[in-house]
Amino acid sequence: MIEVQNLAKSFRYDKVALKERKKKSRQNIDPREDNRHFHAVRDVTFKCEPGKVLGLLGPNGAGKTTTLRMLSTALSPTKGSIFIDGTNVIDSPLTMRKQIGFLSGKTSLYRRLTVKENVAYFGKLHGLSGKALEQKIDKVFDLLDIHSFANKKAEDLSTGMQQRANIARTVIHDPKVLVLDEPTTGLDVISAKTIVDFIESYRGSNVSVIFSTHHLHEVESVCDQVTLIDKGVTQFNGDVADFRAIGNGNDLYSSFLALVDESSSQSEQSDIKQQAFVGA
Amino acid sequence: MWEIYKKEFLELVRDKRTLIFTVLLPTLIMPAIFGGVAFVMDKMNKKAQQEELTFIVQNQEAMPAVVEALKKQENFKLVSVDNINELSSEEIKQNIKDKAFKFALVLPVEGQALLKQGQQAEIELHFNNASLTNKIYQRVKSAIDDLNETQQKSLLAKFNLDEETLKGLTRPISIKRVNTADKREDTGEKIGWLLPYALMILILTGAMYPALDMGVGEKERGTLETLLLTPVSRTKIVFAKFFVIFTTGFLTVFLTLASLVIWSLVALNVFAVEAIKKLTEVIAFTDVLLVFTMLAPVAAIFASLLLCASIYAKNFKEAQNYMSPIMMFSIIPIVFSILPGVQLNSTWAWVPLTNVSLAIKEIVKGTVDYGMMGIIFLSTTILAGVLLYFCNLWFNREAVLFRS
Repeated sequence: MIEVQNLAKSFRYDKVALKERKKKSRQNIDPREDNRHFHAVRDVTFKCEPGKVLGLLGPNGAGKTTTLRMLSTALSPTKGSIFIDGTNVIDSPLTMRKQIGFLSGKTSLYRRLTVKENVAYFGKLHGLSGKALEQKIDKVFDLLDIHSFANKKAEDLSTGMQQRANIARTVIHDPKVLVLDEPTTGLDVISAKTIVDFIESYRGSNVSVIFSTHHLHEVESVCDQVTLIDKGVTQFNGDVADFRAIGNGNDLYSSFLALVDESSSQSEQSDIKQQAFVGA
Repeated sequence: MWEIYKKEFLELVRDKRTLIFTVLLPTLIMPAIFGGVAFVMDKMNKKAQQEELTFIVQNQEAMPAVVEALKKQENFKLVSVDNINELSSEEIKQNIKDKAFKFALVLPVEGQALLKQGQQAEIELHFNNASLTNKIYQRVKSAIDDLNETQQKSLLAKFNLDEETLKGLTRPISIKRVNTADKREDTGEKIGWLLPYALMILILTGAMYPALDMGVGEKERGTLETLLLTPVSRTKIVFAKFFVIFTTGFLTVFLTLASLVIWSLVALNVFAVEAIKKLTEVIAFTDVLLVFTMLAPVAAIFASLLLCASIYAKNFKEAQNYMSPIMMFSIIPIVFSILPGVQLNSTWAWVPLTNVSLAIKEIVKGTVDYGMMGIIFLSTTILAGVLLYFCNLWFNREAVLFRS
């Protein structure tokens, strides 16, 4: 089980961003900004049981990617804690990485390596070797139907094949927690379905899946729970059914709009944040 | 760390650009370019030597012996133009430009009389000397040398002088140069400035592309983040990347040197090139090994610097912008070692890159001070270590890794 408690992350502005801020009028400044820092995540709390899929929702700039990057140990939180089966990830990130699998729309494969080499490489980095690694690769390739293009270089693969190979890379070490950051963004319908099917396959398993997306129909089809964050703060935690009940239209869309401050969702995309912050 | 090293290396080997810059350029392309240039130069020299030279002579009757001497020369052709004796310098220049003839000799009207009196007769040679392979002056001088010698002998006989007295008359005191430098030192001094410069630039260029590929290249392709999420410490990742860049930089130099040795042997045995023969006589295998040893920390310095820049950059374009200053700041200390009067001493031994450059020069010259070499190796290694330490610090900073 993964448990996130009062997670916060702030980034120091760089010189360019500070200059830009001086030009900006006070009224337009996001309440999360102070003189020197941008608080990308201020207070996020949720938990996800094994076998459950948690949909992480929020408008652009809400802090979803930063939160997921903290879960994956790429970023260290400024405050708060992340527990996987009772062990604090922040205290021993190196060890805990063996329990985490991370996939996003932006992560990719080494294009000059074959699919098998890519997956084997990550398997080795996670401590697998020899026959155990070979067997594991075979099993994952069977599951994802990769054998036919296992010896093709990643650069020669179609988007759909690349996604399947990416999934294989993500799960080769049998993680207990899967962190997926908008994995279907920019994919065609077939490739996106591969991902959704893959997430679906983990329901009822011993793996917790945290899945961020902007596509509410994907949440509807695969998620058990929903966490909605806005301006770096958790606005909702609960079952999909409870989430649906919040909105007037008894659908996820109206619930989303009911919980998110619309004015913030329009202003959050200001250029300064996009350019100046680290991974906001 | 070894797994990352192996993977990075495998990826580089499969990359055409790396293969071109690290393997093909030093082993085939560079020797081919040098060989090609030498071949063309040789051809052009031969052509210039055998080229037909059309010429005119003003005041031919003043010194007929000169005209006869030139006419006897192979590929010399006397031509005639209207009002030959009236042509001004400007008109001669224009005619040469218009290719009416290649050169013109203007003989002094009283030339014969001057010679008879035992005086010097000055002949003007008009020709276009802008071409690098121009042989006109040498060929005309060679044609007239015989005449000079005959005239000199007749004058010596006339005045009852011998050649030794003539030397006493023309140059009463002469200085004979006795070079205390042995053959090796002499050759080393001549080529010693070029070798470190060429080798260090090769390390830098050989390491540059892999550094870009493994730092900012990985950032752009989205593979760096994946790598950071594996249970491998960031320090190990930095070290693996550093060692791959170090290896490729060093490999470029190794291949270049190996290629130079092989091509030199071919040139020596097949074409019997004199300069190569001289070089192989003075430089021993142990010297080459010593040069390699001194270059190792240099490769480490460049690897650290390039990796730092590559990791810091937001994108490939930004990284390429950092490469020019790195190149410049690397070349300046190397250029110091070429400056006249800069010799290896206890002060220069602490100046990064200049010290190694001077040390290599000393190795080639055969005047190695092993104590000094030790200091240079140590100081350069320490600097490389410090740079690698900072590189590691940067790689552990979120603000650098996720700079966007």
